[in-house]
Amino acid sequence: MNSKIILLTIISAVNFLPEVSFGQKLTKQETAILKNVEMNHAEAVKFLETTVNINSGTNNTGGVKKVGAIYRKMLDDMGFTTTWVDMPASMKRGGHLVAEIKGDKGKKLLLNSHMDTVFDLNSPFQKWSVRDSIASGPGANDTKGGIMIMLYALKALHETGQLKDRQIVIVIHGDEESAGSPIEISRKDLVDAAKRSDYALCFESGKEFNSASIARRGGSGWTLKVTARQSHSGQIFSEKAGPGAIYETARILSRFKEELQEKYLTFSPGIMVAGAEADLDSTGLRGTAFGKSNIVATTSIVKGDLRYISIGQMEKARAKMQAIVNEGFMHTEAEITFTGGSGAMPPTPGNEKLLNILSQVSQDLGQGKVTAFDPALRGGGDMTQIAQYIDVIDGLGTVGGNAHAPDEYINLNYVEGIIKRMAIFMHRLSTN
Amino acid sequence: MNYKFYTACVVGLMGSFQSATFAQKLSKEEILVSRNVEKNHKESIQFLEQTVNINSGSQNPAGVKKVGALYKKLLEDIGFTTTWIDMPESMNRGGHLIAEIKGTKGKKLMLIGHMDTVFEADSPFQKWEQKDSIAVGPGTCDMKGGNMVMIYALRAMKEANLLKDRQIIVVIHGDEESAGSPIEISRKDIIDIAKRSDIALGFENGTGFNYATVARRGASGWSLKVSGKQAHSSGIFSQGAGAGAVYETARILNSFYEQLQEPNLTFNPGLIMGGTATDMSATSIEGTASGKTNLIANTTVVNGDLRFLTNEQLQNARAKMKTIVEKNLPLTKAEITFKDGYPSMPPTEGNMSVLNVLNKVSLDLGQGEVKAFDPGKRGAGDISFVAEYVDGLDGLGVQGGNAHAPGEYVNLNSIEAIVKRTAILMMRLTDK
Repeated sequence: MNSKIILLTIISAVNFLPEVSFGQKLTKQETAILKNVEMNHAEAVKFLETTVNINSGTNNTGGVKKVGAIYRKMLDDMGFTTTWVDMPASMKRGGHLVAEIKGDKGKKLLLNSHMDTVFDLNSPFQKWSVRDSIASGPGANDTKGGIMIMLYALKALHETGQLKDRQIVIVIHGDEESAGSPIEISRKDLVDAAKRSDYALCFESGKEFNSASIARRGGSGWTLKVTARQSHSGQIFSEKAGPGAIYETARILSRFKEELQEKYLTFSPGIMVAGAEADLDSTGLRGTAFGKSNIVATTSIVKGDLRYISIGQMEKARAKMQAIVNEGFMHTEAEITFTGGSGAMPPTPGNEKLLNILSQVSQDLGQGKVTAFDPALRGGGDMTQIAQYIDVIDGLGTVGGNAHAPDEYINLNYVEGIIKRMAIFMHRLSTN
Repeated sequence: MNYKFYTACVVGLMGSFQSATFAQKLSKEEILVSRNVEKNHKESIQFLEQTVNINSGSQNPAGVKKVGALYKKLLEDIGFTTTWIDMPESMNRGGHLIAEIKGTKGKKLMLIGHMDTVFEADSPFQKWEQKDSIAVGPGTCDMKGGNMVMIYALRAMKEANLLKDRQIIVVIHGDEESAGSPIEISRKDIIDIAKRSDIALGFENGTGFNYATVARRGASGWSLKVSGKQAHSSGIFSQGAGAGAVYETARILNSFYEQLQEPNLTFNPGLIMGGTATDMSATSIEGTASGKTNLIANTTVVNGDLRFLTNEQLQNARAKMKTIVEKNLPLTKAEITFKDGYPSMPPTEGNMSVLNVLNKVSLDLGQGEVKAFDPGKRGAGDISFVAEYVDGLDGLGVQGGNAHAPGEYVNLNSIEAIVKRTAILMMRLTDK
């Protein structure tokens, strides 16, 4: 017996049903669950295709509701009590789907994902297409694929009688890609559910087949506004005119890039407009600018985000940004405002414990170990809102790539393996 | 003796002193020409009033032709052969007036004016209004005043029989304020004339009684297009995502600002749009951008101008800009394109020698020294098109202010001295 096997035995002893020996890794029920996953596999992919073909860009509230209704029906069919939680009209978001089954067995699970995508109605990227084992489409990977994994794992549990008496609450958001404001309202249901659950499992896209996220960075926003004196372009740089709003903006952004970079910190400007007149609309997604090349620009607006591993890192970054902004060129005025700034999800021992259980499931399935994904390569997520209350693990969805880009895809070859792994993972957590 | 009386005495003394001086410095013929200017002064103001009261906005071809007919008649009366050059109908411009006297004597002189103004037929600013020595009206200063100075200086020479055998060509454009397109056609005649002339005098409004323009900066355009990789904002700066289009644009503009500044060179970005999609209007002066804070911007466009004193300076600046643009940040691409506009009029030795002649005339008339005006403060003008072929001076027109604004005015007290100075300058330049 080598040391690896000893370790395995200890983990097994702590986490597994007592009757399971390491020689016989899966129980009869687990084997039945796996067969069900195999049986439903073709249907699961078909289901994903249907949902991908419905546009549910975060700002398309009608589309979010439409795709949400499909998820709701499936959860109703499995015996969940479902509720559609509308957001206030002023928030301009589609709302959330909450579903629950009650019981008295095992640990209380919170499952989370989101049905909105970054691809709004005006995106050219709208439809599912398959080439060999690669399926591309808006949300295929982020994260309609993840919802499909969650639902078909639950379906396998349901169809083998393993949902009975379990305690599972599901929150599927309609606004993860651009959370509704105020966040206290748009994340109230998730936080409430977390406070009465033991473990949170989040089905955001997986980055690799053999990794999961036990740490995620927090995210917040910033808006930079620069104003300057209007002059004829021939006078730019002179004592009277100064360098104008555009050069001031270029100075600030260049300094951000040069002086702020450190591990786990990112700051990305997503939209910029500048000229003699420049403005962003109320959504902040669309800007207009008017400017002639013979007029020194008077206005500039840039909107970006800031991601960090801890509140301390966020505060330090904000202070540096503010100091750079304050240095201002002659005859220009710059102002930076920050929004959001909620918690990050640091890698706690509780989260690591969940990862270990998952890794054991994976090995029992012959899928190999699952390790922690580098949080630097990952954005924020809804789990950062509840990490302070509960043990969490994320990145449990599909494996694919190019999330947020118009060729987002998933690798269909991994789907069955992931559903199996998730079904067994949830089964073990909700049974013990 | 009160203070006022004392001042009057001093001025009186100075006046008589000056008369005594230029009696020695001016030739008999020059004194005769000066007297003619004095004699015609009142009429010249009435003529200016008459031309100002005819609207000749650049886009009012009929008005341009109407005021042009007055100039034509006056030039024919003093012996010039005149031609009206029509522009193609598609250009929607009034055309140019060309007038010539031929001879064999001295240098070949070309005189440049324009009869259009920025005030179109729908402007509220249409009429001449005189209060004391200030006359307000559209084109009083820019530059019906200058045309009047040119023509009444020629008339003073004619009435002293001093135009005989000289070689002078007058070009009065109908589209200086908004040059007809294509420029190769609308500026063909002035260039042809320059090629057979020695010296050009421009009668644009002056920039101070004791200044003339020996150099005007040229103006050209540039357009910067940057692309980056669209990816989730959390991956910005990573190997897979790169720096994005906005940081690349900021780097380029900031490098322009830091590396290109030198006397007489300006480079103004007038308009920026950046995000995941941008849409520029056909006029290139306005557009829209869309983007999200959680997406790395993959496209930006910037439009700007570039003003320069010599062609060499222009070429150097363009080369430096290109070098900066090519040093792309990771996973970004940038391209800059340049557009020619007005050439520059560099401060050549030839131009300085014409200024020296004017300076001497002014000193001989007791009008004080005439110095070169700072070209950094002067925009492009029609004389720029001929600067490569002839020596030249500009800004020889009237003194006034508020050019291009309702309220534009001429200081009538300056006119007689300027007409005298101009007539004697033209005599001396064409004597040999």
